Amino acid sequence: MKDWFRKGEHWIWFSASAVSVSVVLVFGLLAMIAYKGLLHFWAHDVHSYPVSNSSGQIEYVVGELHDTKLKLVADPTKPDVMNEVPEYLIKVGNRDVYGMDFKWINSLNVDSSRVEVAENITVIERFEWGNVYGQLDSMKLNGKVVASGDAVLPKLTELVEKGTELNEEIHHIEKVVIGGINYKIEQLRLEQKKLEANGEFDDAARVELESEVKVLNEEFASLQGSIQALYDQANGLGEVVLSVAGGHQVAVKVKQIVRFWQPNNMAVTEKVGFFFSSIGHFLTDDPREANTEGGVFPAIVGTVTMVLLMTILVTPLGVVAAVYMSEYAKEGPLLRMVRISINNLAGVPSIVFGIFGLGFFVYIIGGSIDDLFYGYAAPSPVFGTPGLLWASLTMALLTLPVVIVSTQEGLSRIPRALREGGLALGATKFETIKRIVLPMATPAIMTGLILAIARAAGEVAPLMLVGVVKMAPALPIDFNAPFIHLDNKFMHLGFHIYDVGFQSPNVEASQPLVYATSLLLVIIIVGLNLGAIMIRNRLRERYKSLDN
Amino acid sequence: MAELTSFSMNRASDKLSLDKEKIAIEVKDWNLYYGSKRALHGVTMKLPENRVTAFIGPSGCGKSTLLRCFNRMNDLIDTVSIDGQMLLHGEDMYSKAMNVSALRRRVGMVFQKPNPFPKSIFENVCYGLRLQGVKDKQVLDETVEWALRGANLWGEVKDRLDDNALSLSGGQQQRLCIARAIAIKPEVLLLDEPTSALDPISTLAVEELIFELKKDFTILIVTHNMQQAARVSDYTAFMYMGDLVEYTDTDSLFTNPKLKQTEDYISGRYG
Amino acid sequence: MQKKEFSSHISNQLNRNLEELFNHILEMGGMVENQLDMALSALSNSDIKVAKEVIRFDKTINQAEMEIDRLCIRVLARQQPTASDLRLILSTIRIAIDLERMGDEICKLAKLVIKFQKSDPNVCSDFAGYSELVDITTRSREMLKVTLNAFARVSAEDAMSILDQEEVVDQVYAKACADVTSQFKKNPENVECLLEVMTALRASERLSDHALNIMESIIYLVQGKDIRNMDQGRLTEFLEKISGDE
Repeated sequence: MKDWFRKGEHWIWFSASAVSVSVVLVFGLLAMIAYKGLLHFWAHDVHSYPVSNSSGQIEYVVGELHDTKLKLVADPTKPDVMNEVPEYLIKVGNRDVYGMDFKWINSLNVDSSRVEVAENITVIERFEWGNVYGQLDSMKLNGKVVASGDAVLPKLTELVEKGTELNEEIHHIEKVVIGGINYKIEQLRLEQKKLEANGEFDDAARVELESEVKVLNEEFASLQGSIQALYDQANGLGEVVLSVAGGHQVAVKVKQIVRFWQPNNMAVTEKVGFFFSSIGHFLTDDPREANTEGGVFPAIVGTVTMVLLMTILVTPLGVVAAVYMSEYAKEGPLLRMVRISINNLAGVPSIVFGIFGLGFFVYIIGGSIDDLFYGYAAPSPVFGTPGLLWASLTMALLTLPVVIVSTQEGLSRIPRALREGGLALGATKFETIKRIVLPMATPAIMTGLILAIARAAGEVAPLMLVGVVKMAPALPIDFNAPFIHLDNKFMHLGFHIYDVGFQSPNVEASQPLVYATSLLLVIIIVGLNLGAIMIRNRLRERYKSLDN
Repeated sequence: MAELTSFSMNRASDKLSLDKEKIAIEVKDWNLYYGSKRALHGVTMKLPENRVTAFIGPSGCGKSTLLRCFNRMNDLIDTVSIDGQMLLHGEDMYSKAMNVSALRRRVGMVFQKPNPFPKSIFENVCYGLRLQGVKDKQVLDETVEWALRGANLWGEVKDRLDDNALSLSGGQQQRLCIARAIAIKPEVLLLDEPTSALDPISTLAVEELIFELKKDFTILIVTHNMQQAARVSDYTAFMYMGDLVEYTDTDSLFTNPKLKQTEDYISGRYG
Repeated sequence: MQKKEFSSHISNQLNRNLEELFNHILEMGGMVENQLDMALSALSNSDIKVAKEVIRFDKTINQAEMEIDRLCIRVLARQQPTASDLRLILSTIRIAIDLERMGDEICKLAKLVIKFQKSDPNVCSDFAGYSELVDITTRSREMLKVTLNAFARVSAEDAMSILDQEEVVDQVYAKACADVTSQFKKNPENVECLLEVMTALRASERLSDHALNIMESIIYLVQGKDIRNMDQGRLTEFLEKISGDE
């Protein structure tokens, strides 16, 4: 036994178990997020639960089993003893009928032998008011029944397809085309204000501007016409009537339907197809119902844009600073202090960076820019308000120490012999650094970038102060010149998680969405990291074997 | 009756002498200080053109320090201060008007440990040319071939000029560094213990190379290997503790040195 | 050592130096051969002019020896030759010395011719030991030729024949000495001439000794073995062995 200790075996065991625990925790966390998140996309079976209510009658509760909790209930036979009894959370949908999406039922009240899979139950996902669970009854158009019984399903399928097409077209025209026109009109208005401010707004300019505005307005009017026609078409698709549990009838307009499915009738392959299409919707749709439904596309775009912009900002800043400190600055107390300050900067809480960004970048610098260049746009601030540029700049500051430190380390690992070799051939110090030293430090710079990206993509607190919003009216990059709008506010996946998870009205509905978004965020960060690591490994190959 | 007048051995003397040589670098009363400590004491010498001059002496005698003065590499060390004069073909190397980078293009250096850049072989050799702005592909190709031939490396690498230079063996890497140095056609080539990191065969190869190179370049070589100095050099300078003790043609130095100190060092009778 | 190994060093410097030395020896040997031919002709024809030429030529031979010396020291100091290269240097030095001494001895023969011319022609033209003198000198000339060839081929296979020649020379010399000594008693008035003849005989005998020395140096070069002072039996054994090898 003593031998075992002397050999140091106990340390090996200790460190090995620490590593195992860490690995298990990490993968366990990922697995839990993945499971709970991916559950959101699956087409669950819908069951019908016969529940005996307080008056002893049997009600049928139809819906998806969402969650199970154990509740302590007093034992009817032994008054002092508490039994643990499961309670079920059923997603019943039909908020417009029942008033709420979810219902708790106590298993004691459920006749478990008669829980059955509801046949032919149809789930309809609507643009508003959530899901509908019910049996298909008939199709109506302008009050008249046009299909009933078995004919409903195929007709419904056909009409929903058409409806989706129309909706997409309407959306495209509204968002993209009309959005573009609105943008141009806004630009002309700002142009006018600018000319007025400079005193150059004479008659010739006025006439020109007015004619341009006129052209745009005409386009707008014609587009309005087309949209109206499309709306009429959508309205002409009619509605579908379903009977829901409790004896109610619900009518759903076809244009309100996102999609529908019959979970209990679907084979496994169909369910897998549904799974992947759900994921597709999640990634490409805009959010609905106060971020509790729909997709996270704008958040993805916002996160990636901010991370990329931050990378563009932090790389030159960090690398140049590191090069100066490493190659040019003279050793002394000043340099030491600068190094200590940079290292400490990495420990400053991120919310402090947010406040600094708000105070300095947004108000002072943004305000000055507005005063100097955008006076005509007053009183609405252009850059004097949180936006993409300030958010990226703040994150760049946050991750600057990491980049500087790893670049410095990379530079210091390059042997002096190579620098001397370059100088001996007649290169100036700058040329040597540019052509020999810096390329060789690229793997280290990439390491710093990887760490920076990981940190930036995950920090939420500072962003809340400098540019992230719950719902952004437009994407930070789109097809309107100048294509990237640095003054726009944007959405962010991290913030989205917080918002959906803790600030939404319908907490249970949003739970799976929270997990799904977390999973997406983790995948994006891991993806960015892996990409950078692959680039770094390839660079390492090129510069390795320096000590042969 | 054979005529006995044709005598092919009638060489009065092929002895070398500094007085008859053209001078490449002249050093006048050169002192060098690391802070307050003096490392070189009043060195005065004339280094002949198109000859190989070797600097020998025990460790710490200042030979590498002196060599690094010839291309102003000591400028990189903050604590160094100098006084005295050093002339390259009559020009003052340390005057304020002298562009250091331009000087280093005229006085090339090969270091003790081979230090090829982590680029391809071709890029290594033409690096100096690119620095000078040469872009013409044909000129680069020709010069690279010329330099690699001159360094006796062409045959071994002509088919793989795009390979990474670090994939070469030690001896090949050192010859690559030599090729890189001569590609810019310097006037003087400084070799700082160029073979101390190489195996005996590569060492002999490099020595043969030096013998060829001296036709086109002035060569100054620092070596701690006396036998190498004897083999390779035309003139030898023996240094000790920062002083230039004896400086004369190699034949005389190794057969009949003037000073006892030199003799003791050469024959191994020191310490 | 093989002849072709001269050009096989990595160091061209060393190659060139060794080849230079090699050629110098052959050249010097050629000079001595010439000198010996001239001396023989002077001897046979009592030609004073040729004899004087022989003596003048000795200066050149001495210079050659100095030059070879200088080259050898330089190679030793600067190239640090080892193994067979080192033996070559050593052999070269020794052979050069032997050749130079041969030159000196040949001068003595030439001096004999001059002295006899100066003195009474009738008295010394027909003296004892004369034919032996020519015989020994001719044999020495042969031996020199053989050893120089052996050096050029870097081969020791003719060593045996040199030894045999040397023995013959010894015998002839012994007889010549006896003849001259007996003349001392018979014709005491020719003492001066006879003394000169003795000197010449001794000189020409030494020629063959030097030729033998050169052969010993060659054996040292080729085989690495120093056969000087080896006793006769072992020597014969050794020489037979190496003749068989080559």
